[in-house]
Amino acid sequence: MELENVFSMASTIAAISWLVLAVTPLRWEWPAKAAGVATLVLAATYVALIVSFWSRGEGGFDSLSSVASLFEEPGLLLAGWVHYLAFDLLVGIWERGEAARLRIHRLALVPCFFLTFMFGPAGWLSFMAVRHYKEASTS
Amino acid sequence: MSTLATPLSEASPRPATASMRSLQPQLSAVSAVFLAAIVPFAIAASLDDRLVNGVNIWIKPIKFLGSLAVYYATLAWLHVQLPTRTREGRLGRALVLVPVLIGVLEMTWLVLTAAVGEPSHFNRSAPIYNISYALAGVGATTLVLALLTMGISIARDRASRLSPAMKLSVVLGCAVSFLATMITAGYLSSGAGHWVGGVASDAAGLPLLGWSRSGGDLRVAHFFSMHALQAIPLMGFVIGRSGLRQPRTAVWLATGAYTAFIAWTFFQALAGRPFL
Repeated sequence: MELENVFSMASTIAAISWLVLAVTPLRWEWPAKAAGVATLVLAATYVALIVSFWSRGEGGFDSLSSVASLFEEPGLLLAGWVHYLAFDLLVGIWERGEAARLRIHRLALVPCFFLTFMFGPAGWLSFMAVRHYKEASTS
Repeated sequence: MSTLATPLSEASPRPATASMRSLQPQLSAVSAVFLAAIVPFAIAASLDDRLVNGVNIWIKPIKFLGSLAVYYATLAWLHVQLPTRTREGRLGRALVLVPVLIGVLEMTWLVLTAAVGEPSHFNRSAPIYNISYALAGVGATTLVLALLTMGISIARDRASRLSPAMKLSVVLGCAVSFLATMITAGYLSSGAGHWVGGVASDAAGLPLLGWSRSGGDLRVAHFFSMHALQAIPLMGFVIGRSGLRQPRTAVWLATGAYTAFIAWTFFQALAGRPFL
């Protein structure tokens, strides 16, 4: 399989999962489970990429230039990308569960979803802010 | 020790909860996990173009995951057949923990050597590979020793709820699996590779198994030795169901035939002839 195809498949799996998490009623439980299965698939893909390409990469984690030369290997660059997709999705599943538990409105949740999907930690921070606000207003 | 036993276990050797359970829970969970772990390495096989012995480098870890999944599933069933005392005691716990720990270590070794693009078995190119190969041999021996331990324990259990023919086949399955694996795998690992004559590549071998079709392959006898563990009890099960008048004699005969078959595959490989 070509790495470009792996990239497209992984991105499609992630995008569909995010869409399902965003549009289905928050009280439904299956969307989170389905997104959990998608995360398993992404994680398996990540492992496959790492075991296949780790030994071909130069560099390491000890300096910025080492990380840069690590990512010069396309297989490891893709592994890094799938890592983002998988962990961002995991955060999205958690946000959805918290939103359902605390009855956070979808209009507040979806922007956080978008930010988490696009810019991971920024989305999580914004959700933490929303959650803090909601907890303050219900207690 | 007997003062610690609850009145329930004194009265009936097999409490209802244990007899209703047909598989040991942790061992069946590990079997399922090993089966599921095939997925990432199947993906890796489709991404990675590196070869070992002429076949994709991830074929071997996948085969071992499948083999160990079958091993743990069988162990999960055997564990429930152990006498209650043994099962719930220290030995019973060891017969879960030790095989699991060793299987995880064996797979770690296989995956790491494949990840760096090196062969795992017969790799004597550097001290680290030599040592890890030797340690893997110790681990593999322990895996079959667990079978022998279970077989002896089940054989000595007078209160076994297995039918006499089934019990005999389980015990013989454990014993033959242990002995034949020690001989065939011991011989196999003492050499420089699994081929005897023929083309030294797995590329033209049997599908998935990779056994040589041009010369002898010592892995054949190793495979059938390990799987005596499943084959002989399976024959015992069929014999038990068939209503033969002398089921135990039939189990002995079936075991003899199967053992002869292992010996035949072993000498066939030694003579440099392919299995199929």
